[in-house]
Amino acid sequence: MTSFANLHRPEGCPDLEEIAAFIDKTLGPQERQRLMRHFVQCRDCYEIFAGASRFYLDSLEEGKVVPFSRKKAVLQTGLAAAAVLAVAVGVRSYRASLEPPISATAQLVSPGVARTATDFWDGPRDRGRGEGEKEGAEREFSFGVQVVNLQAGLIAGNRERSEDAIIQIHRLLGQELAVDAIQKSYSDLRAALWNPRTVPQEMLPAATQAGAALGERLDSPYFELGRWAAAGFISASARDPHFFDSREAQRFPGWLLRHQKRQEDLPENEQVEIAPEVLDEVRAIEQILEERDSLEEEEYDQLKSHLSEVLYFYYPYYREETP
Amino acid sequence: MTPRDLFLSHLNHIRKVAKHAARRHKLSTQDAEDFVSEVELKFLEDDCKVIRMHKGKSGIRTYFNTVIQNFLRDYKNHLWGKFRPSAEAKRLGTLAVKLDELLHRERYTLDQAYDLLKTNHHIEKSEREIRDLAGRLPSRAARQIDGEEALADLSAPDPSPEQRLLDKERAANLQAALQILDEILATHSEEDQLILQMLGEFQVAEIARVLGLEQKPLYRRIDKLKKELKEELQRRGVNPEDLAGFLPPEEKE
Repeated sequence: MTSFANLHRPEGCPDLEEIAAFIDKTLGPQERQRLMRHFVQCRDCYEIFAGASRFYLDSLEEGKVVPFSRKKAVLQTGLAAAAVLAVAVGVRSYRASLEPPISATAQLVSPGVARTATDFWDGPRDRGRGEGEKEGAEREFSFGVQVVNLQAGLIAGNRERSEDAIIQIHRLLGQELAVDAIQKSYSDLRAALWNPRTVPQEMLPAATQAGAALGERLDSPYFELGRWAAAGFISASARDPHFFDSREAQRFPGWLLRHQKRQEDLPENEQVEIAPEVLDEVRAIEQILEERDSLEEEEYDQLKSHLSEVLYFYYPYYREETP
Repeated sequence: MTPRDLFLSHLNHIRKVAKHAARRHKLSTQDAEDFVSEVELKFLEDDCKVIRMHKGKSGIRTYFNTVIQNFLRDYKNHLWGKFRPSAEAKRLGTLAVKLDELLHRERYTLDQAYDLLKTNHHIEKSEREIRDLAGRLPSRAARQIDGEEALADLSAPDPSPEQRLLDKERAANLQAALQILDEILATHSEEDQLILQMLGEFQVAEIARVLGLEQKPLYRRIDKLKKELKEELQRRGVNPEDLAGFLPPEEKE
């Protein structure tokens, strides 16, 4: 048979990936508008969009079999499987020899920050910037940021933002098929978001557990750093003391610095190095938290500034997108 | 993970989507099997170029689904030639174009096409009238319509000169009405236009999910849009019933 398919798109028609991104809702408002205008005018592209949308809907249905009250049980089963999997593959473990950092199941963002949370997301949610291409420290750090984004989105009752975080997590998971149980748990969460009877805030425990399983699987200081920096940045932006008052958040800088110190005793190929610039920022934050009983405007601004440097370092797109 | 590994790890998904897409578009069993095989080859072609083209703007599965839909469109054109409404259908008016499309592009049987026009597009014509109209459409060599014998008792394709004149006048009226409809639609937002286009093919709940809209307000929005559309048509002297089949249908059952 002769070749039938041509990957080159007709002039003026969007790329296939743009059509897919439209369906995944990862395009910016202007791009979305441009594609909608095009779909109305171009029968061929509309047909591709409609056909692919049908499969998108099917995938939502696959994950929407159980109502949310039962979904938790399903999630937990999936997460348990993921945990077993993580042990089975024998990933490196830093927790065994060090005190735990922030509890895996801690709710990092307090309800008080929900009002201002969108100020934060507009930076690092990284629309369409290639989460799937990230690797190593940047990827693990991004997981941590998105886990917090999801938590904050659910607290704010914002379905779109919450789904956006899940999409980013899915992208990051995309090339790691050994964690299908975790992918499934996030698919379940995404499907539950689309159930109008589901209250986003009630999904928090399941989202937190999914994040915990992800952290367990990654077993990475970068993941923990991403969670801590994202939650801290949101809280500092909102002038909310809840996060900084928590003992875990206060102990995190010390834990990270000790973790780094211990790396020196390990063979070079086993070392997990946190960048010196980042460690400097972490030390500065530790100092602020140690010196002050209560945080004032100025301290919040300093914390926000130091935390944003951490985010900039491992989340470089954030700097590009922030005015 | 290399592009090839990515392909292999998603092979079951690719096969499933290709198979379902082929079935949805009424490819014969043999054509569907060929299509699935061709899709696999296409993904591997040129060192998995199609996978390497993915830059992470979308989820990988959504991207694969979109790529497969594109392959299918090209495959259908390859099998049957690119569909263009016949000159005769255009002359007979928009209802004839729609019927031509259902019969010769979507490959529905005449009975199925009649049901679709009636259910989804609220065409009030009788079955006999639709059969008459189908009889005037030129047959296409490549079409393979199940139950094609159903067309055997259609009216003669050669209409009388009076009938031709009537058809011509009706086509001109419809063309003018459609022009007005286009003008009215153009005053709405892109999203409104797309929503109206998706009706009939998708349920309102599905449109809400695909476009990321709240479902309940969308029902109200669609009702309002339809009402405004009909009122504006009437205000400009067009009977909405004359445009049956080209106005947004009721929600798909």
